[in-house]
Amino acid sequence: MTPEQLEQFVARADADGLVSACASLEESERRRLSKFAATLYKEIDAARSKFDPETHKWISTRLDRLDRWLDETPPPRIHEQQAIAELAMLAVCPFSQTKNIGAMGWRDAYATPPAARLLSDRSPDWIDAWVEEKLKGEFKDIGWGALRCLIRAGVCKSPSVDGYIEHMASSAPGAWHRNDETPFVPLSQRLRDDPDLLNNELWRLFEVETVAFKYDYYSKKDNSDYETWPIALKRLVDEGVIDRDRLLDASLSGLTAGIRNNLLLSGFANFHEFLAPTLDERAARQRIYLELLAHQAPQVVTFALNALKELEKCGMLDASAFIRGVAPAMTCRQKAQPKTALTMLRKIAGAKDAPHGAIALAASEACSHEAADIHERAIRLIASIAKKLPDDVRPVIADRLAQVAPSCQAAANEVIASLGLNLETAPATTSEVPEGLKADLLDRAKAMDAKWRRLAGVDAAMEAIADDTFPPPLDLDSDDIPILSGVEAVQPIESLDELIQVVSHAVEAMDRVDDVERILDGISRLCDQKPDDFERVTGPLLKRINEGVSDMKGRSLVGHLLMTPTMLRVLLRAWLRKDASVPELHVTEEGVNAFWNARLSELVQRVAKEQSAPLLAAPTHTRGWIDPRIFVRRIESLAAGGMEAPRLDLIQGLLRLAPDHRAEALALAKSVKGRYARAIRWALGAADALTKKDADDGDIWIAAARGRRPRGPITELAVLSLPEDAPDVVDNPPFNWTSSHTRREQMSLVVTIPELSISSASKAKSEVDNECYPLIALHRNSDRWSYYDTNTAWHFEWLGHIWPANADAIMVAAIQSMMLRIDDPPSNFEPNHALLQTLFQVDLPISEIAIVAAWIALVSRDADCRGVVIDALIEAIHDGRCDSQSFGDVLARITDGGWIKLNRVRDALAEIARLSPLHALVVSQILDEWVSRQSALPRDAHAITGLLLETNTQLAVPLRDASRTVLSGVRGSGKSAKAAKQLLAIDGKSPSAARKEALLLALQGRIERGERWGAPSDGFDDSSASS
Amino acid sequence: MCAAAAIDYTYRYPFASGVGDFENGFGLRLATSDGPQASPWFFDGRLRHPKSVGDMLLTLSDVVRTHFFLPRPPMMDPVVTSGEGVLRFEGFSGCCGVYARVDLPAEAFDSDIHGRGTTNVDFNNPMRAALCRLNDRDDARLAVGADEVSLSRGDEKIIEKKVQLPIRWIKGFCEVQAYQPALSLRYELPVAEARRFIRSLPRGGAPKRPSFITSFGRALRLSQRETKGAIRITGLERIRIIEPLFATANSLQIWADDDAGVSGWRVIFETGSIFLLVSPEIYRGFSGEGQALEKLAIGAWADALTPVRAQLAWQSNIDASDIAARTSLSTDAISSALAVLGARGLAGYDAASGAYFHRELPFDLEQVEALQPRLRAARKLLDDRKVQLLTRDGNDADAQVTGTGVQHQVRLRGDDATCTCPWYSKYLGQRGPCKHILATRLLVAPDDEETAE
Repeated sequence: MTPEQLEQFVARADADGLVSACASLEESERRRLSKFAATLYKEIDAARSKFDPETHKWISTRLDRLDRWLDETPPPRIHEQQAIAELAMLAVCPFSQTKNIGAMGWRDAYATPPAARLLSDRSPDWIDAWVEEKLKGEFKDIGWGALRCLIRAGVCKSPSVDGYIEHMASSAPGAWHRNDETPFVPLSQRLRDDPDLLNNELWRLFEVETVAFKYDYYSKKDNSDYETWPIALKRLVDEGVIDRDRLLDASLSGLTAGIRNNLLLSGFANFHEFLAPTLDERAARQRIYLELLAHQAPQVVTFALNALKELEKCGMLDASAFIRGVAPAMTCRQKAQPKTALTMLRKIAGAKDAPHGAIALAASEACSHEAADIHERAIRLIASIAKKLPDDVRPVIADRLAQVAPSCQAAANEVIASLGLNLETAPATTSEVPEGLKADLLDRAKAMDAKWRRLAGVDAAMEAIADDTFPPPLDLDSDDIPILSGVEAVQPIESLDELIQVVSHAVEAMDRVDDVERILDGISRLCDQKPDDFERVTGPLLKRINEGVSDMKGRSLVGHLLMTPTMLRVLLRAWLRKDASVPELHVTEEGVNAFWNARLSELVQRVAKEQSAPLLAAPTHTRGWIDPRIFVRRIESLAAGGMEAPRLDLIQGLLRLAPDHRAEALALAKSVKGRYARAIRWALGAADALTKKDADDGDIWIAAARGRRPRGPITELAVLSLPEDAPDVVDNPPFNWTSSHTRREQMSLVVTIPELSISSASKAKSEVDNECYPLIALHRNSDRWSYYDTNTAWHFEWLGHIWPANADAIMVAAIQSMMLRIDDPPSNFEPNHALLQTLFQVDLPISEIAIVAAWIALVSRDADCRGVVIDALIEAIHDGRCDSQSFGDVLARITDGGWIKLNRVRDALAEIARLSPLHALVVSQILDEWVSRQSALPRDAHAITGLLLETNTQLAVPLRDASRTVLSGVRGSGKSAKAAKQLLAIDGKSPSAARKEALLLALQGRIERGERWGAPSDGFDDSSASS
Repeated sequence: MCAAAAIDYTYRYPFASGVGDFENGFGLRLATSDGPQASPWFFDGRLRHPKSVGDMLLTLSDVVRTHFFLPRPPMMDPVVTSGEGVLRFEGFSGCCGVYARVDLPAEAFDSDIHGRGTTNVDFNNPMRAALCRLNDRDDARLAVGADEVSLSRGDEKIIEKKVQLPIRWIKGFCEVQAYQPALSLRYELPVAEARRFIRSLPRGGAPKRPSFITSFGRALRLSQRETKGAIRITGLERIRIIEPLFATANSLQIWADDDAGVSGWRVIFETGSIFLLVSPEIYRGFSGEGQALEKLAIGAWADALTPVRAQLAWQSNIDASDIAARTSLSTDAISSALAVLGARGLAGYDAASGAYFHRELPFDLEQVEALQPRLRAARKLLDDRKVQLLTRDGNDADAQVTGTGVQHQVRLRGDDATCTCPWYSKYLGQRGPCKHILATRLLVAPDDEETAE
């Protein structure tokens, strides 16, 4: 054959002609044609799809030179020619080229496709390697039918690679959803027609991870002849085509093959049951079932237990082997397996000559399970046979019983006593209060200044210990609280070298949100420092900024996915090259972005002119706080340089003023002059009265007002004639919220759509210029939170630094954002956890709306949000900020919406409760409050009552009267009723050691706070204006 | 960048690993592959605790079969080392982010370990199935390799597995040893608490952010906040792989190196243990981390390397002071030499014993420096004269290195170094020096340079 002849076959898409012509070619002839064939294929492939820059579309063209061979119309389409070009390569090229040819274009038919004939004629020595190559990867590059043709024709061997079996599993049944009218051949028939598969390949389905037993879905109405693998194999077994015993064994071997895929393991187990093994068949396989009791997949343990249960019912269970092998089932993560195992042990224990010692040992393994009701069952079983236990096992049993949950300890102690052993108290009731802790705490309290002792709640906590009550929640709404003692100082950037390095790193990966303002401050102060090598040293940084940074995780200061920080890029260019040009910004000009961009724009203008000055708004401490003394020094420094305070910089600075050192700062501010001097002094606590003229600087006065007093009404602003309902201007907006749900039908399922609507009475925000009113802007965002405004974690967190004293607007945004994805896992594109960081403000009260946000996070599937709130709640309980009554009340109101999953509440609170008796006590109070608010317990209330029972038993704390009333009305024998009964029985007459420890820990947390407040603050460097 | 992404490698076993009734009884027989020795025979004896050995080896098999970051099933077999009364099985995940090692001391068997060496061992599907079924009630034997007599019978089918071993996998397998000396023991948990903790790790929808293992009061918990002493961890599914072990284990040790962001998880049994070392991020393997780079480029180990290597004799615990006594080298020089040998795959490190052990990975590692793309790239910068010294004072220097359309600025000050390239800016040296810093160091301290050849 000549190259021209080959080209003709390709041009005419003549497969049969090509195959015939190649049939008798020698390998040397093929080699001579290989380069031509490969080049021809590449040319067709390139021509097949081209990108048209005019229309921005991919278009298909033709390889024109092939048309010289054509005389028919219409000519073959280019994809048909390409298919023949592939055949040509298979006919003449070596393996290194053919291994890349796709073969999915082959028709999956039982007629031998041309390629199969061609390969059969050629019989290349690489055919097996080629087939294995096609079977690599998730999507196989060869049709199943065609592959079987090659194998049956002896062209290639049956592949040994796992991909072959994977391919069979997914392709052999055919597609159940079809469009053509040809008769469908069900899988069982296909297997009968290809009997080699039944002898060999079929059995590998139980060794290799495939879809054969993973998915069992198909639609009968689309194709009533379709058969899944289980259906087909059962039919063949029933017809005697497949050996039943062998298939039963194979399904079990799949479970012991070390496969970890849970779906597949379930599939094997389900298939075994689908074959409906008889009792004799089960008995013959009892040894395997017993081995499976130790399987790491709980559903396989369940399968094994159920199979053994069938044998037990008919007296065919090897009881001794079961007792020996059942221990691993006792510690399965879920409860179903140990429940079943304990039930079976109970039955065995009832038999004559039952080995009670071994049974008790096996049952006592369940004492290390996490669920209290499993402990209860184990205790009941052991109690029933306690008298029959041999002496050597009794100490072991007693030791295990001592580890049970608090609610079971009384019953466990009874059993231990009946074993004739000394009563051992369980660790949870043993006091771990170190000797002398109480005395030490009292000494520390006495040494404290009375003011801090009162404010930090130490006095109240000491009274509570004396009264055996719990101290009231802290009142942190006071101007005397030294906020700065609870945060860390932010080290300003000190040198140009440091600034360059910090910026370079932040462009690649922001480590801390504080670095944003450190960078702004550094540039602001050092923008006039341009040594001779500045351009050389910063050249790489500028190039990086200009190129843009690909940033899929949202960590870069200027990543290209970020909308908002475009102005940051502008600022950096202004610093690096005095370029103050601002490109068209693709950002929304509403909300907080308007303020942020305007503030940066203000800075850009000054930096481009190399006018160095301190940044008023640069935080001196983490979480956005500014030491007011340093703030005043910065104002003075600006004045000394002949500059007036930049408007937006001043507004932001005023909002960040810490309540600390106000008197001192005010004294320093006496000499401040300029347009905004009165507003600045007023923010610091001066008694100046506002006048109508001050309305010209309404934005400044609003910021000053909220810097002065973050919460509550500010009647002094009335003279400015501001809209009264503008949020956080004249007063903080009330957040009226309700929890509810709607139901919607989706694909024949009815789904519950949870809703939490929050209304704050603010229409005014649309009437003012957001650029200068960041407080109003924050509320504007929270109304219709859009992640297009920003979607990076550091920017979300930075929002909480705009007004660190009051983050309620941020909490509203967090709630709305979290509600949209309450059942979704965490997302890098919606880093809602960053909005919750304000919960770690240790010296601020947790407002009601923050509590709502906390609960939403705790019940969401976003592990980042949930984790952050658990951490915050742990700290808040330790340091006394957590008001359990408020938390319980809010939870009750959210529950009224009918959508909350109480097991998620339980899981979160259980994690917190186990940390210390104090945490357990506060969790108990929260749940007690929740119960007291219920008119009728929800269906899943057992999740709450179960946890409440554990904490109250551990602490020997009785219910409150209101809760007792609710639980007394619970009827029935369900889990909630059982827990209710036990809860009502706790009288709390003898306070437990755990409870005493809890009260001491509460005192300790308050003392630590008081000591921190009373400690001398770091020396203020009066001479510094830039730190 | 390295010219080849992978090397063709053939695992060749005289028979397939499997379970069955053999000459000496029912048991598990692991095939060892040809290498410096032909199919070495390391052990044949009865297991004292078959179930726990089976569980450990199964977990090791899980690690080597898994790519935790991408759905790409890897094909590499573990490696077994026999030396001085310890059998060690080592494996590395396909993503290069998890290193696993099973240590079986002599107490795990009732026969002596014989044979010394390191080789691959065949872990196939039937073998996994057999490991699943080992239990303490059965009398189970374990054979690692076979004696010449058995091999010479010739009635077994030779097994060949051709794989492509990614260069980064080989590098990572070597380089992971460099992390272990810096680990410190942080927590030791009884099995019940260990099981509770591992089960408390989120499943499905795990946090996107790093988590931190911390203790509060009596309990170990996972936090989302970085606090002092907390262990940073990501890719929690890599840790959950040890969950099934707690059915028979005694305790769990958690090790960590805060600077490197790696954590070690040692599950201890009655006899034997399995150790997992987990990389700082799920998408970040141990290769290319540059831990050993600077040691390879410059360092004081050059004179110590040959005599230290000559002292290696399959010790399961290499005693540096013992070598010092024999060679009159300082223990510092010996430690440096051992670190370099580790990076070359010629020694492993056991954090629990705090010592290296001799083992030689069965790969062609002579050109390990050739496998270090950053070091090669650094040398290329020098060869292309792209490094220009601007100032120099001893080993302190400022330099300018030509990049792509940019001049990177390198500054060397004692042991510290900075660069203006994106790599350094992002990692600030935590993943080793960039090629620009390496090149400048090579230029400034050529006498300390050690070449691979």
